This record gives sequence, structure tokens and C-alpha cells, in this order.
Amino acid sequence: MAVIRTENLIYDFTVPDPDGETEQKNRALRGLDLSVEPGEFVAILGRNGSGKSTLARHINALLTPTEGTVWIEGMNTADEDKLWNIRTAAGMVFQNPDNQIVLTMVEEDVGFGPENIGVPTEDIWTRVENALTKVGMAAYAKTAPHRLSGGQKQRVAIAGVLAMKPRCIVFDESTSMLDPRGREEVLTTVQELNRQEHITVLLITHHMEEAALADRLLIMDRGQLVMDGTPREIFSRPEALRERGLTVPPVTALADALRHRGIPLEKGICSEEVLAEALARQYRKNGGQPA
Amino acid sequence: MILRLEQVAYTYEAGTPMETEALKPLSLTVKSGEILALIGSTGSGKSTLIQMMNGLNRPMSGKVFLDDQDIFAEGYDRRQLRSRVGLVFQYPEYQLFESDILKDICFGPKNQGLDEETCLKRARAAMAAVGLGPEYETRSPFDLSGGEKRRAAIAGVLAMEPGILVVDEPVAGLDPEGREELLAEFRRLREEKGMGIVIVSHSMDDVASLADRIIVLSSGEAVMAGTPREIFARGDELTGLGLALPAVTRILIRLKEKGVPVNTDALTVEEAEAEILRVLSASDDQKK
Repeated sequence: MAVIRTENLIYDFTVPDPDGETEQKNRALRGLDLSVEPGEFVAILGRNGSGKSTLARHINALLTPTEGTVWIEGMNTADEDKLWNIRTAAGMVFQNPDNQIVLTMVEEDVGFGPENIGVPTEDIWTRVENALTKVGMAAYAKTAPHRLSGGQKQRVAIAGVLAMKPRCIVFDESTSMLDPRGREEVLTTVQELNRQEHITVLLITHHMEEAALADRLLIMDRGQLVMDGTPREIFSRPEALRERGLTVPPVTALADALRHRGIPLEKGICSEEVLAEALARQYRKNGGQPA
Repeated sequence: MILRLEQVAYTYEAGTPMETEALKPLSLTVKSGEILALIGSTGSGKSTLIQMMNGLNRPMSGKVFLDDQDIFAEGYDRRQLRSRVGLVFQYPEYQLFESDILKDICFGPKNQGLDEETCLKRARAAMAAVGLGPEYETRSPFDLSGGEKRRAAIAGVLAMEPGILVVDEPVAGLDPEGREELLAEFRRLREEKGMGIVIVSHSMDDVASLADRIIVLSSGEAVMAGTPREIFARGDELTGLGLALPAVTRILIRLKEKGVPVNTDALTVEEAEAEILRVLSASDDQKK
């Protein structure tokens, strides 16, 4: 069974007209059909206002469809009785860690979610310990969150979601405010959770390099799903991406520029190691001597 | 316009056991027509430092001069200062408050005492500069996406036509097209209006292509200063500080480690392309 499935998902929101009386209807999502299987690592890309975050908010029922249906592990998100089961199955990590951490000690913060859904106390502590270990923050259990770096805070926020034992986590631009080390820490954590814990990951990002880590890329534009493929497939179509306000990672841009100058390189290269290896091979083939 | 910080320092909770030196005495200058980048990990003191630049944060020691006038001296017009040195915060949602975008962006120029017509003209020009079309004028700032809010916040500061613009992570949350447009706009403001720009960023790629000079902060201290080429030649030290290298520089270093004799100082895709072509064609010539 798909972890996430949407059928003809439509979401409208209203904004007041300039006169302040009548209302104008805006359609944020225009009939989205999507299916994500357990264990997938999916990155969602799209220009500002394309509907990425609106879609993300449907996955843990923060929003419910105007038309169409969203199922999380088969549960219809419009079914209010299923709300807590849905929020347990699908967790969310946002952009600003300071808005997600509520308590004054790391372990209490991580235990807040399970406590809220009535998990017995001894189980809470096991869950907290496991969650902090998985994000590499066990040593900070007794620390005050404001003493942590951005990357550490974001990992605590992820531990808070993990303590709910979710099968799926949506990261909504969760790395965009982090410094390079914090970003690296969070991305490593995301990849480990996906590979080792088999948690389904939906990563919303504007960083093409981050997107290249995923198994599958979804491109959204004006409330619709417009491209769906592996990073290599998607990044081998730079013009199509440009039309959607997107681009390719620097490594792909460099490989494309070299290919246009006659260096035999494949399309859609999105790994720095793959590019460096291909160029080194070309150098040796030309008879170049190692430096 | 010259903004000069002289030995500025800041300590949080001074005199208590929680005392933290957020900023150790630091001096820097930024002039009209140049782009200075500040890089450093979270908590390195960047935000404390930039809030001193428009008088929001008073250094505990040291002085800040704008065109040789001490901005913290008694009688200095600090209200007017805020339109001469424009500051855009890291989280733009904290900076928006009016009922619609146009009003929000007009707020700054209006406060400068400009007439309605000039305010509107400036607000519309600023919106165009950040890629917000006229259809956004009547939208509420609170209905916008994260990237749109950031554009609106930057427009609000640009509308005051500051001589020096200080931006904290201006492209975080912007889509690639928006990011390229905004970076191009910064270059244009520098070249055409002679604006001086201080940019705080975690994106090494952006800093490498945009900045004239870089100052690296670590634990409240300026630990490196120089041109992008000088700074990014010190990859190991940067990594040690929680920072990184631009993507193309990393690729060249990998290539060199594989025995290809490339220079690793390229900072942009164009420079890296030229360097790789040079080395590959030299090896091709050898073969012939």
C-alpha cells in the first residue's frame, strides 16, 4: 500500500479583493495525482508559490482537500477520527527550528509528542533515547535547546518527530536556514533514516544539490505536478527546469558546459565524484600524465 | 558613503556567570559600490555585528561611523540612519506587518517623510526589482509563501533607497530563478546606484560569485579576511570552522586528487570550465 496517495487533490484559498468586501478564490493545488511507496526518498521542487508547502500540509492533515482525496497509509485525511493516527504516521519538520522547539530541555522536548498521545511514561523515555541516538544527539539530552547550533536544533526537531514512530517524514525546507555543517548534519540524518530505518522521506527544497540525493524528483508548477523522474532524468533536461523557475546543480551545469565544448560526458550528471572520475578518465585517455 | 566599525565588541549577560562574548573587538569598513560578505557558522556573531550597522544594537565598546559621524553620539539622527543603512533580517516574516504588500513597502519611504506619489513610485520600483508583479500589491503579506515574504521584506528596505544595504541570508527560501534574479539585482544596485552591500550568507557558491571581499567570523572573532579567491584557497580551515567550499572548487580538488594537474582556484562554473578545458587540451596536444 502506498504511504501517500492523492487523487485529484484540489485546494482553494480565499483572499479579500482590494475593496475588502468580496473575496477572490485562488487555487493552490489543481488536481494532483500522486503515489509514494514505503521507503522512497522523494524530493519536491518548484518555484515559490507553486504549491509545495500546501501539498506538504495535506500530508499530515494540517490542511484537508477542497476537492479530491488524500490517503496516508490508506487513511483518508478528511476523516477526523483518523487525525491522530495520520499525524503519528506522517511527521513534519519545518524551516525554522526555533518555532518547533517548545520545552527547556532537549529530552523533554523530544518526549512532548509521545506524552501528548498518551504513551506510557517508561515507553516515552525509551522512545526519547532511541530518537536522540538516531539523530546523533544523545549526548545533549539534558541540554537547553537555545544552547544548540542551528543544525543541532533541527536534529532535535527531527528526534521529536521520530519519537512518534512515524513511517513518513516531510521536511519542508528544513535546511534552508542552516550553515554548511548544519546542513550536512541534517542531510546525513535524513539519509540514514531513509536507508536504515526505511522511513519514507519527502524533502522540499530549493537546493538542487540536496535534491540530487533523492531517488525520485517531483517538480511542481502552478499547483500541478509537471515532472516526475530520477535526478539524472530530471537534471538532463535543464531547459524544461528553467521554464519552471528551476535550475540544475552546479556540478550538472559544469558537466553540461564541458559537453557543449566537446568533452564526451553523459547528460544529467549530478554527482561531483562521477564528474571528477569521468574527467580524470578523459585526461588519461588523452595521454595526460598524473601530476 | 562609508560605514566604519571600529573595535566593536558585544557581551551577552555581562557580569553574570552566563557571560558570553558574542563579539570580540572587531573593525571593518564597507564603502559605496562594494559587496562585502560575512560568513561563519551559526552563533559566530554575524547577526550581532550587522545589527550594529544601522544602530539597532549598541556595541559595548568601540564605535560605528557613517561618513565619519559617530552614529551612537548624542543627537545623531538614528531614525534617518535606518533609511541610509537598510537592514533586511534573516526571518522576513518578522518584518512585515501592514494589511497589504504595497502599504507594507510604502511604510519605509513614508517614514522618511516622502510624499505619497514618490512613496508609491519607489515601492513599485522596489517590487519590480525583487520580482513581485503588480498583482501582489493588494495581497496580504501573511498569505504569501516563504519566498514571496522574503522578496516583500527586501523590497520594503530597497524602497528607502539606502546607500548601504545589509542583508541576512537574502536568498534562503527563494527558488533558483528568484535567487539568480536577486543576486543580479544586487550586482545592478552596486554598479548603477553605487550601493554598498553587506551580505550574510551560508551559500558559498553565492558568496564566491558575488563578493568583492569576505570576512570569516568564528566565535565572535574575525578569523580570516580577503578576496573570495584568497579565502576559498583555505578549504581545510573553512571546513574546520563548519563552512565549506563552492561546488566547482570541490570538483577541481577531487580532480586534482585523481592526478589531473588542474589549478583549484576557480570559483564559478565558467572559470572551472576554462581550467578543465585547458588541462584536457594540453594532454591532448601531448598525445599528438
